[in-house]
Amino acid sequence: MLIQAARDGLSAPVNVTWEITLNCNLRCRHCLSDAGAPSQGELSTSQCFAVIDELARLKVFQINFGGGEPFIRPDFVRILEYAQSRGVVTCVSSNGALLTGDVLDLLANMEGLYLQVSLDGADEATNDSIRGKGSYRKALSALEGLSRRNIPFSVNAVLTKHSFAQLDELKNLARGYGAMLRVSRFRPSGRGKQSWEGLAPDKNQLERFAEWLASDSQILTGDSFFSLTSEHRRRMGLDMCGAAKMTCCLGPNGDLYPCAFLQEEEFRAGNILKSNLEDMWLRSPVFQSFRRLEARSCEFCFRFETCRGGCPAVAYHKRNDITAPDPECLMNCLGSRATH
Amino acid sequence: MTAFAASTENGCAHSDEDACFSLAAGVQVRAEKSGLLFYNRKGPRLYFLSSGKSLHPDYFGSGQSLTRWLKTQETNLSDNGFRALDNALRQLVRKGALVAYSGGS
Repeated sequence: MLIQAARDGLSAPVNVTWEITLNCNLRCRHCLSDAGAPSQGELSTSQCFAVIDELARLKVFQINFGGGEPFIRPDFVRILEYAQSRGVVTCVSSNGALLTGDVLDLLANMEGLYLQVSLDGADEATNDSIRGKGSYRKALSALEGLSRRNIPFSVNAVLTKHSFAQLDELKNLARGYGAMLRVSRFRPSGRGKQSWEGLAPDKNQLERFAEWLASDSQILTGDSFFSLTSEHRRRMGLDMCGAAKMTCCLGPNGDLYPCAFLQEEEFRAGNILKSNLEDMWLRSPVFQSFRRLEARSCEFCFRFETCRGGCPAVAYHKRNDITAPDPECLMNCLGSRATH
Repeated sequence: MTAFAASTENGCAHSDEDACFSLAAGVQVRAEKSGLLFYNRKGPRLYFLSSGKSLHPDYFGSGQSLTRWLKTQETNLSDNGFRALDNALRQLVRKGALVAYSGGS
């Protein structure tokens, strides 16, 4: 029923991914946004407040803040406080480097705040080879500070061919701080386009990852792996791409896209400073087309009803066709299983 | 006030009598074209109640029993429709999205 309602078009997003700045203190090799310097025309504090007012009016339940590094904005804690004062649940993806004493003390007083701290390896060498020198120690310091203050958080690892071998260690590391491990999918957008060949997990790793995921229901994935998760995890998330159906992405300058991994001009629905968010969500041709989107060539696969062709962003970046089947679908990866 | 034998586990009142329903802590609801969308920040989890226009989000803060609310809204719901809606709400109680209680108006 939920999926049908989403395909028919919800009145507003369930959650909005908001890349609130492109400014970042790290230069991670796989960064989906190619973050580094701030982008032109990033929204001011008052503009951010106005966006939050609009999201609250539309009853958007949750904002997932990312970037860039959100905490690099001097006004970010105020923005978080404002979102919470409007009753919107906030989730922040951070590299942890700026989560030090004073900031953590402020966050400890917030309700409805969830943090994700990124780590891409269970040891310093593996993590820092992707995220940059010193990032591992800073992230661990943030985990310590969050844990000590009982701030809810998870450890977020992008699945790469290097982190794959350390998943159990990452899970144990997170549990050592009282947190769960979230594994996100590596997609070839942003700097991920250049680093894809060197970092993307291979087919064998994807297959073993699917088995590992099936063995532990405590691992969080968001909806990253709906295209390859096993049947008994299916109730844990959305079994289809949620872009323009459940979620959308707001860029640093207010541009609206169906998905954070598809921040390309051809998928831009408009800009929130010039157009009404509700109108763009309900009526923009891009969003409407995404609600009808299905990978037609997958229709005869026995898993079609549970993934509907997988991730259009990966298909777009790898095959330049959002209607192509997900290149990392296990059924596609492992042709011999396609007839099961 | 009607006495319910309340379950301590899920807050669901075990009774055939007309119950009141309110949102559990951390749960929000909004109206959609064909029903209500519930968001539970624990998880988070989403639930969709295919209730058409028979129920409005304001109901969950009204303190009214389901029967009374439907009467005041002049909703033409059949007996079967009422039972289906009541059952669906009780399922949401079991899932932790709603709390059922007695004693409403």
